[in-house]
Amino acid sequence: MTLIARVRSAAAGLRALWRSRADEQALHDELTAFVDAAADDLIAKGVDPETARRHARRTLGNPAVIKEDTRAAGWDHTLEMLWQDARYGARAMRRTPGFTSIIVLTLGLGIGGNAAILGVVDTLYFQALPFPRPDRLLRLQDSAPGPAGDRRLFGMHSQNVAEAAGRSDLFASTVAMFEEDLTITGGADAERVTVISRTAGWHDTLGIEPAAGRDFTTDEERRGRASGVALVSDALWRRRFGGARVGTAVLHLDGRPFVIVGIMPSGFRFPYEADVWIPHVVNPAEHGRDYAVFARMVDGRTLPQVRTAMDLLSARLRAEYADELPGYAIAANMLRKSLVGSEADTSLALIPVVAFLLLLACVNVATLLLARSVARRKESAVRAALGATRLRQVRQSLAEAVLLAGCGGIVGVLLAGWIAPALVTLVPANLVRQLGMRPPGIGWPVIGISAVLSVAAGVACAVLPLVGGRAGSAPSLREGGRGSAMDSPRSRRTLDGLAAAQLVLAILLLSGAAAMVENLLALQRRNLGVAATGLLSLVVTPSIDAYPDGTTRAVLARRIVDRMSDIPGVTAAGITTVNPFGGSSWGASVIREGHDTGSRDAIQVNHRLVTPATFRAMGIPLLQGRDFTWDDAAGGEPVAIVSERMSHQLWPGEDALGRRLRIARPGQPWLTVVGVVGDVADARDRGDPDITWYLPLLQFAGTPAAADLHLMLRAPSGVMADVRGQLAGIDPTLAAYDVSEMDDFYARTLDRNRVGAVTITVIGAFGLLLAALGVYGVMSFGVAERTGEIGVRMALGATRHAIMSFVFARAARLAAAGLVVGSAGALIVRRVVASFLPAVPQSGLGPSVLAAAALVVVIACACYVPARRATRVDPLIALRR
Amino acid sequence: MTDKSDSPSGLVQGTLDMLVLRVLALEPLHGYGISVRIQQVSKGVFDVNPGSLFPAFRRLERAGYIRPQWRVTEHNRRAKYYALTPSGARHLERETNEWRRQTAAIAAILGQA
Repeated sequence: MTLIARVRSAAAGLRALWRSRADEQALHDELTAFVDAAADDLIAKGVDPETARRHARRTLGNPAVIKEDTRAAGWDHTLEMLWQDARYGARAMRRTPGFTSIIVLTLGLGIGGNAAILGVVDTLYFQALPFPRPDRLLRLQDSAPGPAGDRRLFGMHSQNVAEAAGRSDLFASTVAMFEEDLTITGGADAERVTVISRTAGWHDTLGIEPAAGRDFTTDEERRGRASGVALVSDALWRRRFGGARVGTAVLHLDGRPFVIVGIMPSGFRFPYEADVWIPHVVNPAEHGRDYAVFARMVDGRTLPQVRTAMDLLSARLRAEYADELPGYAIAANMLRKSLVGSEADTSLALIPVVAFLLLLACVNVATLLLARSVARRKESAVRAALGATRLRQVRQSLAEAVLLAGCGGIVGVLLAGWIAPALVTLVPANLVRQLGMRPPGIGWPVIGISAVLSVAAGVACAVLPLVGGRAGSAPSLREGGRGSAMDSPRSRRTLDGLAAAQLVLAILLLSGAAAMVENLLALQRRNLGVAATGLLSLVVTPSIDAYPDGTTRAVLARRIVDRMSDIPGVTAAGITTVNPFGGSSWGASVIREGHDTGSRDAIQVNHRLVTPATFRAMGIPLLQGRDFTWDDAAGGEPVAIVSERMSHQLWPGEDALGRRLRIARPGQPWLTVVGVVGDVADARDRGDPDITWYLPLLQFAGTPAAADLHLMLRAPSGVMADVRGQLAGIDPTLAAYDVSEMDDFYARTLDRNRVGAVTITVIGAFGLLLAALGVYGVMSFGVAERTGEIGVRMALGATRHAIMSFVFARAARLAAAGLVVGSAGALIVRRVVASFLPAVPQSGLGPSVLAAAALVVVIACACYVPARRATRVDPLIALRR
Repeated sequence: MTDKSDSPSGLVQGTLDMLVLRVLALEPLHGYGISVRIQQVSKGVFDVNPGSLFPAFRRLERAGYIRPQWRVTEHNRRAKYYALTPSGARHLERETNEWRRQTAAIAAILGQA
């Protein structure tokens, strides 16, 4: 058929739907005319009118069949039948509001859970990144072997940036950026902002243009920071420069003026929640800068090709700069993967969980529908007697199930919209807060997914009862729809199977929930290595201009500690350069004396600079040797303190005190180990802390690692006003930020785990409830169905006890099957969960036993009511039925 | 459904549709008239069953190949006449060519054997 003909057919079908009654009459008239014409023909040939009419009618055949066939020739007919099925289904739903609402809610929860999680997945993996052709964008990072044999990723060394950027055979363009926190001065109040220094190549690589004003010129990009121009985020512009003009407004960063030449698009704060972007030129000889590097692949290049090339380049660089880049290699990853990172684990882990939930909901609804279909045998017997084919009957139940699931889908979407905001923690902050991407919520993807899931769930609910036997099929009116149990062993088996399947699914959900909760509890109970309660943390970043070198910075650090210690309520005060739960870290490559023959001997350690008494303030125990003193300053003997694990790892079975270490870079002095302190857990969820060394802040105050000073005060939070006052007394430009109790810092690192654990526990509890309902439904249906049999047994002298055990025996068989299969599955689930939640031991019977116990209780409760009902059966009434 | 009659290879159903269109190519006719004409022209080889004739009318009408019209018959009765539309005429030509091509091919094969 041509397209035009198709359109015409569709239009005609639509018209027919509108005026189906007139159409019907026309068809009738047409058939009558046929008979008349045939009769006239015969009469004209001399047949008598009576015989002619009879003969004509016989020629035509059964008009009802012809009408039916003719109607079926248009597509509108199918639609009409569906509509009829749906209307019938809707009437059935209205007749049983309780039954209907249970099913709709059950499916709604199943679909809603999936839609909510898949909404998160949509944001993580499918929503377009705001860059042009993001699938060509890579992130390049330095990597070095981690302590556990894994590879840790770092920002890129300036030497590597220069080498990678030169590979025009691989990369069409690259951009390198570093981040620093600077203070806006000269306005009403000082404010810390994140400033990104970005190289030329931003435009070609990321392609994000300012929404107002202009981008940097080539000349400005060549001159770098000295050009004195800046771009600002939309939010910063509104907050501080509302009313000013782009191109003339001046931003003072640590006292240096920058002319604002453009405003970035609203919501765009990439990378690192940037407020300000300034031009920058990489100096390959410069050490101690970490660059975030992004590259756009040349068309035709693939990630594996880039990786191979980077491996070759890394090998050459390692040979050439053995002292500077020990063990380093350049890692290339797709931008999306790098942005989503490992934070996506929790949401990915929840996908099978919600899938199980939906499956459980479907099995549950299937059970209910099957039980009802058996109860509606009489109705379907009547329909069959009136000529409904088996196909028609199946289609009818399909329509009913899809209708129910559709309502469930609507409930699900509403539910997903309600749940989604709680799940925003599962999305890495950079996607939503830096790239302005849509957070999970009700959107077309979620609605579309829900619609698909609804139909799928409806079909599953209708089809599941058909598996394992033509349950409830071919009923006859002779049975009177009474449906005695003896007639339907297959439907009973199917019901039992469905109920057992629900138990299995519930056990799987519960064991998953138990593992997640166990993980959370283990993390909360974890020995952090610091006394986090009563420890106040705040950050001060002295400006480079006011404190340009190590000497001035060392003096400042000492003054700050002294003033803080004087504040009433502060029992100990110190400064460190890294908050272990703050999310950022510094690393160093370290070489042991006696093992300094090759770069392969370099070891990656956490690099933290501290003032004296910092360990006391943080509650980190000093295990051996001594703490730093104020005499460990520039000019003094270079010293270091190592963590317990580091001591064990570097000098197993030996005393670490007096050993010497140095940073793996030429010209670095040897440092003598003077103390060993306890291990500190870090923000990552791993069970074991990495190895850490601490160096005296006063000896390294001029290094980039000392840019941020994290003040650690053992004090009540009420002292903050005094703290701010003292800081202002030292230098009014010193602003304290990221002020928080250490407890809260740690609690925040557990947010994702908590959301995950709570979500899955709620889902598990709901699964258990569903399973209970399912077992209850099957058991009470079974009792109702076998009332006659129970009556006979009682009439023959069975005691109440015997009847009870008769009912419970069936439940016990069900439970045993469910428990055996479920426990086997639970062991697998646990192994899987444990593989990405290291705090969970792989074995451990506790949760499984708990789940099993919960199930036994649930089954017992679910059986009790039907069992009691069975004992109350009056044999006389039962037998007379 | 309708789709089967679209494919040139849908021989049996397509054949009836083609015959109806061919008959209507001469003049508009009503249902009984069409059935009689097919019988006459085919010299009694095709005795068309009204049970398949009416669904065919519906199909062709939906596709826009024939247009219905209520008229008065020679016996002074009201009857639904069908007339070939221009697109129906084109369709008939296409189908006829296809049919000739196929029958020629089949005849060639049968002749060889």
